[in-house]
Order: sequence, then structure tokens, then C-alpha cells
Amino acid sequence: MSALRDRPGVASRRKGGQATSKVVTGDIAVRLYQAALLLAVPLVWHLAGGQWVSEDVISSPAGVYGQLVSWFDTGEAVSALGATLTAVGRGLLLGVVFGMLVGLAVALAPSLDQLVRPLIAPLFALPKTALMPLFILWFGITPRQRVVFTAVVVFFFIFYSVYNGVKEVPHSMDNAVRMMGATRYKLATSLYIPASLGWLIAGLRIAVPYAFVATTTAEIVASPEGVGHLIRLSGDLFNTAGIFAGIILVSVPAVAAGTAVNVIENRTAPWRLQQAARP
Amino acid sequence: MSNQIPAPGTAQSGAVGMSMRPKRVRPRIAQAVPGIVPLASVALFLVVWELSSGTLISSYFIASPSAVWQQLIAWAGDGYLAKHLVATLSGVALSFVVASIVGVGLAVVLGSSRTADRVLYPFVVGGFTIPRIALAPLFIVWFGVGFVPAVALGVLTAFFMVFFNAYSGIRNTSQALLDISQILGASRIQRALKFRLPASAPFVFEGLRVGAIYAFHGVVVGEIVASSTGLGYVIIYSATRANPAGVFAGLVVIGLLATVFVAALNWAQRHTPG
Amino acid sequence: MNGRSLNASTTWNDMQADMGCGSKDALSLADITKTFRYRGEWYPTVADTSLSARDGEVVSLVGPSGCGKSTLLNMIAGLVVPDTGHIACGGDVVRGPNTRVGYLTQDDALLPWRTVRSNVALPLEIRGLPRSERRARAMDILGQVGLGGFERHYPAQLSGGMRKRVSLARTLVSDVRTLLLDEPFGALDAQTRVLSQRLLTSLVERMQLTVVLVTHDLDEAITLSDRVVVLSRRPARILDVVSIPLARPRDVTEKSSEHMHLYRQIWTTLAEQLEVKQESERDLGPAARSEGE
Repeated sequence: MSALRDRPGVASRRKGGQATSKVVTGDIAVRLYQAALLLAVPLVWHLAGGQWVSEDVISSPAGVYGQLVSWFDTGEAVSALGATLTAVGRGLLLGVVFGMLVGLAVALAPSLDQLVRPLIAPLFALPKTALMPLFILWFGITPRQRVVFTAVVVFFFIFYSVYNGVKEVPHSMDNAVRMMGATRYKLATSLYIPASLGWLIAGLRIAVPYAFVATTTAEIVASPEGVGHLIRLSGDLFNTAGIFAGIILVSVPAVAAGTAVNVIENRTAPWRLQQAARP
Repeated sequence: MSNQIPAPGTAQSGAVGMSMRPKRVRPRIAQAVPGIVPLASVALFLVVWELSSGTLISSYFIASPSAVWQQLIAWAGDGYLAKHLVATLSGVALSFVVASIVGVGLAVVLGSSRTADRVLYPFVVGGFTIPRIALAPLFIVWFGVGFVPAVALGVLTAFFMVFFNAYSGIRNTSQALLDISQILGASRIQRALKFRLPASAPFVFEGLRVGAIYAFHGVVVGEIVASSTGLGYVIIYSATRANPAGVFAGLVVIGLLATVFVAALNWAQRHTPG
Repeated sequence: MNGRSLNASTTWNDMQADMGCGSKDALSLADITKTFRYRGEWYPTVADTSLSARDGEVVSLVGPSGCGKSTLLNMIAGLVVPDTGHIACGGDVVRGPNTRVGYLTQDDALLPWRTVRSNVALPLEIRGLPRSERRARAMDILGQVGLGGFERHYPAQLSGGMRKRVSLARTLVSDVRTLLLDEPFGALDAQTRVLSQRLLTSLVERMQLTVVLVTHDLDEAITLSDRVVVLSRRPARILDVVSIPLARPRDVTEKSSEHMHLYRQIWTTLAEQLEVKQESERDLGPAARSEGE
């Protein structure tokens, strides 16, 4: 549960909050430092490999690059990415749909809430990965098992967001809409469901990166395909370059998808943006 | 909210505010015996589970509660459970301590130095976006399968939670307090350690609380992927041996541990000054 | 249970027919009692209160914090059911959310994802009016509260005073003749409050609205009302009913000697309650602080 309360994305960076007298390093200097760091890391990495540490242990930037190129040449990269993205997409779809439906149903029906909550609460505390062996047991080592695992991880984030969205609606709003003569149905469609949609998108912001993590985890534990499988395979062969190359391969779409959700969130919630802009 | 009388407009309409009229019967029964609804719900669930396992659903997919119980007794009897429980708990403790020190430390540095912050923060965020589980095979290459990769994964998982919370607290130290620290002539390091850090204590504690939970998650994941001890390993081992009772027994232990853990941390946070 | 069908099934035409509140009392409360239960303890909140408001009358309720004023309004609004007694609006007994009154609280309760116009049109949308009519009426009422040109804004883009006016427009758009106001201007700054009071007085006088106003501000009570009802500390009982014979239209910034005299009269009755309240605050428990902020 608490996983959601402390999204790193929330860690607000107050720009210009430190108007102390000390000289603030200029933008250009900061960019230079960062560029230097970006160059220095691979450089040190490159120099270290074979010099101080065995290249088997840390590989080298050239090795990682070579591995990526060779995976793309053989088509392995594309097929692995395809398998991973398919599982992520299906898992997300399933998890979001079920998370929304169950979240709304439980939050809007107090009797269902009382019945289901004591059963769901321990599942929240459970590390979701611990459920994966169960899915292996149920579905074998199949794409379905990876999709279901991803969906379960996504489900909990979405369920929690939507449920919270409904519960956080102020009573004053509930009262106001009821005073307009709204039926239960109208109350749900004009107040509770729109109110929880904002939270749904916030939930997606966490759920999307975690869908990638979930699928990759499932592939690392047991899978004959996908980027996670490439990573695992490389590890088994002591091919550290392959591990790093795999991490890069899966991180790029994960970061891109995360960014896309942020963009969508900003587009779909104009009232929020305005709110943020107000002092 | 919880220690107030329900607001007048809401007192009768139920917590959700959806029920148009006060529900007459059910709340009365529920109020008469506190906790009866959750208890009944769990009891019903267990009974349905027990009855359906082996009849409606193959016991291969869902082990019955009694089979799980027998498995737990067997494990407890031969010391198997204790051995793996100790491995998991010590892994969690170790990774939590390391993640806390590094996380708070880095937060103090980045929170106190604007230059360090602007240079390094994007890298920390970048590191956060890497699926940490993908590093497990690397840890296996480096440390071999066992306790260390699990702890390493626990550290990585917990670190970011501790860091981001502490960082956001330290960054938001009130300007008034910082002005006072300057008037008092505090050095940069004094300002960081004697003003920013104490002022952000609630954030740091929240980070530690969440970090502890994440350390637990990380260690269990690490045990599943890259270890030969611990509760995570117990589950995956049972799964590969097609032992559903073992998988469920492992899940029950982890679930109980997680629940107790969360409750204990919430309690600790409530009883922490600040 | 009947209340829901009464309100939900009432069509728009029925509403308009009923809205006139033809009888002499637009609102009447008879022998109302309400006790809340909290953590096993009973807190009597309203005791044996009878109250009525004539058509077009403005009645203010003043009393110590947490005395049960808001509970009274919640009961008129049909959000809280009294233990005993009955409440009638326009001759009909109130059961379930009372759609023929408008209710305005300190919280403007606007839906943040809807624009100003869409917020104001919501009551009409719930009644199933066609879109074009919803728009026209929302625009008309927004003009009346001085918010023409802001219909495409989101609530978060407006100041507190403007949001309050949107909230008022949303209440008035469904042609209610009775307004319940619970500390409506409590959260506003002093200047904005005066402007809002001025707008409200002019609307009330122009539209002949019946108003029940809960307030802590005795000046506000005197300036806006025809009668001020002074309530005791919890459980609320009526201590005094003060008629305000000031001529209308009124100027909210003007405080005549008569105004000051009435102020002193009400304050004297109220002050006793405040003193007693402080002594016994401890045994009033949490309920004493729950209401009225």
C-alpha cells in the first residue's frame, strides 16, 4: 500500500527555493559537469576493464555496444523486445481493466468493501514477486504466466488508485450532488467515476514502469523468450556485456512509456495543471 | 479524521457516502461486535477454500488450508522454516541498514549542495528507472548464487525509497530556518547536519518506514531469482518441485511476516517524536 | 425510502409547480431532536427545536461553535434524518436529499474537472434537460452573479470569491426558492466577503429567496436577515429570536446605530453561552470541536 504513497515522482523539487547568498553555479557549468560525468563513466569503465578488474566481471562499453549490435544483427533483439512488449501490453490492459472495475465496485459498494477488504489487505503487504512461483505452478512457463503476473502487479496499483480516488471525494461534493437529486447511478457517473479517473492516471504513472519490471522479472526467473531471458542467459554464460546490453534494451522502452504517461497525464487533466500553476 | 465525530452531514450516510438512506440493519450488527465482518469474511473464505480444494479445483492448483498447515508443521519440525526465516530476516536487516545509511547520506549531500544536486540528481532518477531485478544476473556473476545477491537487491530496492523521501524533506527545509542558521554562523556542514536533517525528520522517518518494506520485498525477490536460502527460495523451490502446499505455505509465511512488518513500522512511526 | 422516490421521480414540471411554496411557511421545523453516537457515547446535538421561515424571509442562526447549527441545516437539506419531529418544505415533509433547497457551505464543492459552465449546468444535467437549455440557463445565471466571460475556466483558475459565486450560481440555476447557507463566506478575506454579501443581498431581494443562514459573524447575520435566531450551546435550543426591522434594500457596509443596538442585544444573549461553554468544554468531548471549525 505504502508503495503508492511515496512515489519518487512526487518528491517535489522546489526550484529556486534556495535563495541563499552563495553563488549558484550556472546552467552551463552544470551541463559541463554532467557531460564530463557522462564521458568519465564509460571512460573509467573502459580503462578499468582488463586493467584493474577482469573484463569478465564488468565487461566494457565497447563490449556492451558490440553485444547490442550483434543482437540487432541476428534479430534476437527485435524478437526479444517483441515478446517483452507484448507481455507488458497485455498485462497492462488486463490489470488496468480489472483494477478499475474491482476498484470502483469495492469503493462504491460498502458491503462488498467490508467483505473483500480483509482478503485484499494481506495481498497488498505481500511482495508481488512472491506470487510468481504460484503462477509458474498454475500456468507453467508460458507467455500466459508472464502476462498474468504482470497483470496482477498492475492490478494492485490501479485498484488502489481508483479505490482511493473514490474514497477521497470530499463529503461536501457528495452532498452537493445528492442535493441536486442525483440517483446512485448519476452520483457514480457524474462524481465518483470522473473523480477516480484522475487517480487512475496517477496510478498508471507507477503501474507502467512496474509492468516492465514485472515482465522482466518473470522472464528472468523462467522464460524461453524476452529481454529478461536474454539477460538471464547472458548471466548464465558469464557474459556481463550481455547483461548490461539487456538492461539497456529494456530500459529504453520502459522510460519512453513512463514519459508517455506523464505527457498524457498533463494533456488529460488541464484543471490540474492550472492548479499547479497557481501560487 | 479518525479521532473526530463524523461530520453531521455524513454521520448516517456511511463512509462512502453512496448510500442514499441510512442502512438500518447491517451497520447495527457490525457495530455490536467490532471486527465481526472481517473475521466472518476471512472464515468464510477459508471454509470455501478448504471445501473447494480437491473437489472444485484440483489440489495441484490450490492447496487446501489443511495441507498448507501440515506443510508448515513439517517445516517447523525439522528446522527448515527457522533456517530460511533467519536468512530472510537477516537479509532484510542488513539491506535496510545499508540502504538507510547510503540513502540518507546521499540525500543530505544533494539536499545541501545545489551544484551536487543539479549535477547528480538526474543520474539518480535515471538509476531509478532501471529495472533493478535485471541486475540480479549481474550480482550472480559477481557474488555467486546466495545470500549476497539477495541483500544487494534489497539494498537497491530500499535505497531509492529512503533517498527520495529524505531528499524531498531536506530540499523543503523552511527558508526561515536556513536564514537563522546563517545568522548563527553555521558552516555548510553544520547547516546540513544540524538544521536540514533534523528539520526533515518526518520525511526521513517516512522514507525509512517505506524503505524497510521495500528492503523486505527486494530481499524476497532476490531470493527467488538468485539465492539458495530464504523464504523466496523456499517458494520457488516448492514450485519447481510441483509442491503446491509448499508454495502456499511459503506465501502464508511471507504474507504474515509482511503484515506484521507493516503494522510494526506503522506503530513505530506513530510513536516517533516529530 | 419513500423520500428517494419522492425526489428522484419528481419531474421538472412537478418541481416548478411545487417550487412556489404556496403556504405561508416556506420552511417549517417542528420539535426536532437529534442525537449522534460516537464511540459508544451519545451526544445530543439538537433538542426540541421548532423553527419556521416565511416565504421570502431571511433567517439567521447564530450560536456557539459546535452547537448544532450545521446539523439543523443538514436536516433541512435532508442529508441527516432527525430522531424526532418533522421538517416540511413548501408543505411537503422532507425525506431524503431535499432537491428544492439550495445548500451552500464554506467549501464550494465544485467539481475540479468541470469548467465553470459545466459545473453550473450539472443540476440541470442530472434532471435530464437538453444540452442547449442547460447551456443557456447556466450562462444566464453566471451573468447574474457577475461571472460572464469565465464560463470556460476551471475552478482552480478562479479566486475563492469567484468560486463561491460559481457555487451560488450552481445552486440558483435550478430555480430553487430556498437557500441554506452554512458559513458561506467564512473562508473569504474581509473585502471579498463584503462583495459576496452585497451580491447575496441583492439576489435575495431581487429573487425573493427564502434563506436560512448559519453564521458566526453577528454583523453578517444582522445585515442580511429579517430574523436572527440565537441558539444555546449544544444541544441546540432556541434562546431568543430577534427581529431585524432594518429597511431594505440594505447596504452591507453601513452600520447604523440601530444595527449596533441589535448587535449588543444578540451578543449579550450569546456571550453567556460562550462563557458556560468554556467551563464545560471538557465533558462535551470531541463533538464540541467537530462542527463549525
